[in-house]
Amino acid sequence: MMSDKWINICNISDVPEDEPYCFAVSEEKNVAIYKVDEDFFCTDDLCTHGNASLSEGFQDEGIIECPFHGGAFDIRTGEPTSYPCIKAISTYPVKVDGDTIMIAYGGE
Amino acid sequence: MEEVAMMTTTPERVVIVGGGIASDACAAELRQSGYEGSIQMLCGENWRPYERPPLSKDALYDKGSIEEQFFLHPKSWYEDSAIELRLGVRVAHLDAGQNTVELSTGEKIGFDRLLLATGGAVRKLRIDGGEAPNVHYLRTKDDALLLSSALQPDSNVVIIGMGVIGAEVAASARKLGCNVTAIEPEAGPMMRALGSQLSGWLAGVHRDHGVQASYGVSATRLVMEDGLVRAVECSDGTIVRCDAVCVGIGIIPETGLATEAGLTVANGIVVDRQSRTSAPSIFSAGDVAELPAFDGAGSVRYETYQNAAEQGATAARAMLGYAADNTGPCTFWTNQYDLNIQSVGQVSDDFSIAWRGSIDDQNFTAFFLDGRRLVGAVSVNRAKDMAVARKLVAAKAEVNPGDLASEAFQLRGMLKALRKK
Repeated sequence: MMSDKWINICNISDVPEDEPYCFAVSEEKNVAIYKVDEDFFCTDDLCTHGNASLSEGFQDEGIIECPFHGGAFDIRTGEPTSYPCIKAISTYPVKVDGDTIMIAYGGE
Repeated sequence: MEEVAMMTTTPERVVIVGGGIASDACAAELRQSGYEGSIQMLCGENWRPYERPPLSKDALYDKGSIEEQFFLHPKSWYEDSAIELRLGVRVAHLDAGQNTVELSTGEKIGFDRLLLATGGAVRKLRIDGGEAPNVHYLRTKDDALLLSSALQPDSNVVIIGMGVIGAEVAASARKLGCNVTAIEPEAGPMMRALGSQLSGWLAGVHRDHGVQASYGVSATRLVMEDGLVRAVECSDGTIVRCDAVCVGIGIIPETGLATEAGLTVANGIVVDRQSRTSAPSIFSAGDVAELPAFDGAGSVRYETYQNAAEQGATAARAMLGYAADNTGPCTFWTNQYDLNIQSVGQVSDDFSIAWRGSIDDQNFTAFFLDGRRLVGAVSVNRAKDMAVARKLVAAKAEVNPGDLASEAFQLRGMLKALRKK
């Protein structure tokens, strides 16, 4: 398994509150960046239930709702909060360096 | 008195009858809530619990996926969670006085708490030929395996019933290249779920995708040849030749055990908002259970994923004596062609509609209003509207209908206003 390394994702101005930002970390995988209050968080973009992009869903403060079936996750922990989502989504550590949002990501 | 005393003790044996979404959610929630006693799940099918929604869609495009995919949890999850899954077993009797169930094999199983999540059986066509091998019904993985084999490109498929299942199968069959004819006694597809205006819109969608549909018409005779249905005769006299028939005319809730045990049964097994039946140790959830309506007007039986899961989880908490209240409005989704349709609350011709977005672009939401109160909504490829609508309907919020219809107005603002109150 590869060890995590910090990778640059975007500028903090790319992620307004309640407007998740989608970023491709590889050809197969996108992640979503969220702003909740003044903090930034990162999860996988692909819902663990349907084949949906969470960054296209509705962010309600610390909750992201999947656009396909109305399931939801806690953005901070990745835990599912509404059916039909029952499997937690992966989360990644986030840090802000100046205006740059970085995540700790080790690949698959 | 003894029964009341029993409810206050911590249960050690939970038995769940049924292997669907309600059952699975109940078992998961029991463990999440810290319950350490036994859980036996008695499943009628030979499959461990799985998602039903894909059976009328993705599963039909790829028959191989049916055996491999769409399970709620990996097999190891049940072992790791100490949930004893017993597949392919039938519960023959329930004794609500002795707190036992008896399997068809004669084996008796005692319980401290019981969940009846027996679901429903597909309603069968009551005309000769309805049991022919090329007449398909869709409820289970086994049904989907048979139906997926029947939906061959260029084959002639007749859909009887354009409710949710019929409409989804019609869309899937068109995608697979079948020639599709649909017969529906109501004036349009999904009339009960969508009301007449949206039903009329959806009829146009199916027509544009090449479904030959006859509404206001029922099937009166199946024309048999060598044991197979070769044509369907309709009430308007037309005869449609076919290679296969798919029937989607609803389900009959499996209330037999509850009735035998003397529980209160109406259209379904009557429960309160804690999923309790009329017997103190027995709970019920899912398609079989009839619960108080969100709006307080009588009781209703929902056939939706979200209701099954939430009622099952609520039952788990109530079994353990924790606060549990399942009070939200009904929600459901359906995918047909490139449409993602989501619904919340009351959707019927009794209410006025505010339209937002573009019907021509298949990107709109219909908000159903009782005066200024938002009672329901249907979104088409517009999930963000639905996310707000679900919360407004749940809060029984009053809104300005003009705002709903104005794209310049941010719906999120209504949510913020609601929370400030």
